[in-house]
Amino acid sequence: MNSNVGLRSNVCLGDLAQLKSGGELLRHVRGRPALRKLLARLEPGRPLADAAQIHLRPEQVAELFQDACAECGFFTCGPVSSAEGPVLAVRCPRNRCASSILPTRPLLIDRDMSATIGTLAGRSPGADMSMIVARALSNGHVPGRLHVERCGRVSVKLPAPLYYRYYAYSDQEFSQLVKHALAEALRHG
Amino acid sequence: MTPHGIDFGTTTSALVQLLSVGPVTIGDEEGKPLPSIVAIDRATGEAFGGREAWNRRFELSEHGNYWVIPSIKPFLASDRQWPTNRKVWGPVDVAAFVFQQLAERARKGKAAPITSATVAIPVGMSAESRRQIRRAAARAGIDVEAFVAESTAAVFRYYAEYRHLHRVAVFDWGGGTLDVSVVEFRRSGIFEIGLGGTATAGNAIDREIALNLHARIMQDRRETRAFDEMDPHDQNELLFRSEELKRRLTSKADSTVAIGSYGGSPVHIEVTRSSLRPTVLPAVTEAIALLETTIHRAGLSVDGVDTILLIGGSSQLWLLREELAADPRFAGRWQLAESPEWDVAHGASLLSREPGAYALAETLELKLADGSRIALARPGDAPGSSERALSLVLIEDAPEAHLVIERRRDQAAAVAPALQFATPTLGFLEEEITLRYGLTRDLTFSAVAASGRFSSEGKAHEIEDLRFGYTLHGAQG
Repeated sequence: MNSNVGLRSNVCLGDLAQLKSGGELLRHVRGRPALRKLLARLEPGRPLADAAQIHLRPEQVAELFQDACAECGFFTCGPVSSAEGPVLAVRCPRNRCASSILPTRPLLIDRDMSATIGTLAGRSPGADMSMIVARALSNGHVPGRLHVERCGRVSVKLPAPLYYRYYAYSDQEFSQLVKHALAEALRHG
Repeated sequence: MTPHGIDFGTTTSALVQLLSVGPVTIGDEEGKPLPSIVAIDRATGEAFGGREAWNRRFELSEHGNYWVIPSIKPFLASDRQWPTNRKVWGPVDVAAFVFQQLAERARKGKAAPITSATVAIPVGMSAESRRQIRRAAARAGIDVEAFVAESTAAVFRYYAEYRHLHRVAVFDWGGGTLDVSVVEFRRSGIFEIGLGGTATAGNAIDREIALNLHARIMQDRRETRAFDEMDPHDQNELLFRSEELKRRLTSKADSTVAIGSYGGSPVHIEVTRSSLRPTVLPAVTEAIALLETTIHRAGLSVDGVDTILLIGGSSQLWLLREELAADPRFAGRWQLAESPEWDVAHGASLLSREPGAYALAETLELKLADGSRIALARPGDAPGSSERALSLVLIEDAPEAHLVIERRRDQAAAVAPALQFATPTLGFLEEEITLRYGLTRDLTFSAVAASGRFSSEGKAHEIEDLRFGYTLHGAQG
């Protein structure tokens, strides 16, 4: 039997001085610990989010601030190839999530949303949180927003069209839209 | 200097030298290749080998005063030792003794003295075993000027006959290994485009036949003893008879095995090819599968090979010929070598005549974290060229650097894994990693990676199944 696992290269050509100066090599740095270390060296004293905006590519920013998947608890990996191009996605390691490799989106969640999701889940056995959110957003009800009292933060997996529809919204705005959509879904049964 | 080629085989070793009058073969006193067996007197530390040791091997084993080493080849890279009252013999000492016997026989036979030779080795033989062969040969006064895959060496022997062809596969099935080379004939020379090897060979088949015969004997006697529970002498005797039986069945459909005493009683068994077929078939099937896999690995189907040359003692096996003849993919596409016992050494001697006639025939690339690749060795690079170095940095906070080296055949787009290894690091932004690499004289690619923050130099990792191209202007000899 042939092995289907292998090492993933984690080196690039260059020297330490080039890397520490944050030049071209910076584009290839990956993983939250390494990104934090590098930004702390490049922008000592500057808030991490600001330093990230200055130096990192969008994928690296996402990697730095990523959240665990709402269903399987794993972090995003990637970029992963998708029909719409590279996305940051969760590969469900337990093969339990109903959604497979999909782009993920941080969702702020409060007690009301949690209760609504619980009720909707009771109506749709087998549906996970990502599916409930995606269905609510796809229902076509009048869009609106509800204030979110942030209690927790998870990542939900969204089909690519939904992911890109809400791409430009901040996490706060996206979560308010989701809360409204969930409430509408509950009201309309 | 007279060109010499050596086939340092598992069962037998052969030396061929190219004189102006033609190739001269040097083996044992019977004109056959020299048995690779070595017997060492445990009291005196004196050794002897060749045909005499082969003929007396059971007696010597039983005697208890001798270390009997049927073949040193599988143990070359091991730390095995054979202590005597005078000195402790190691793998290099035993291998050197085999080389010394060949050199001595060349000298006695009034042939040209041997000071250097090209040595044929199995496909993918470990780098350490190659170094041990080099040391052993040097001990016998022989400089190993080059190594060559056994199966590829045979192509040189038939170069004049095959040079009009496009692609040839060589199936070299010996006592210890099966080696397969797929080569392409181009204007610029002979290029290895596929190599494969396995240790399922003649010795393994002999053991399977012995187990079959043992089972029949036990059944007839209504006993249940296992083969491994038999007296070592009886085991050796049955293995020897099995090897003889296998050879007899190459020319006749049935034969008899007679042993004076096996487990205390005589044995007389009638054996037919068909009765042994289920026993031998798995090894034959595996061998043909390796041939096919190697051809596919060369990017070809069986149809893409003009001819398949069968060499080595085990290629004489009747069942191999039957299976190849019955398979429409192979039927009419293979031929048996003219002198299977000498062709490898003869081919190696032809390469010996043209020093430096070989160069790498594939590209080795280091895969970087961003998916790009940088060439470490290219087609045309000569073995033994100077070592080169690259400076690398970690792009993630990891306790080790992961080095991934891939191979690419010619200008092909497809790459295949060649070598992967990890080396310890202190972590991200802590150090540079130096990769030192190069093609060695032993036809391997060696790579060592080490963090600049550690004092140790790092472990050498080697690719041992590299493909080479050969330019043989005068190989018709």
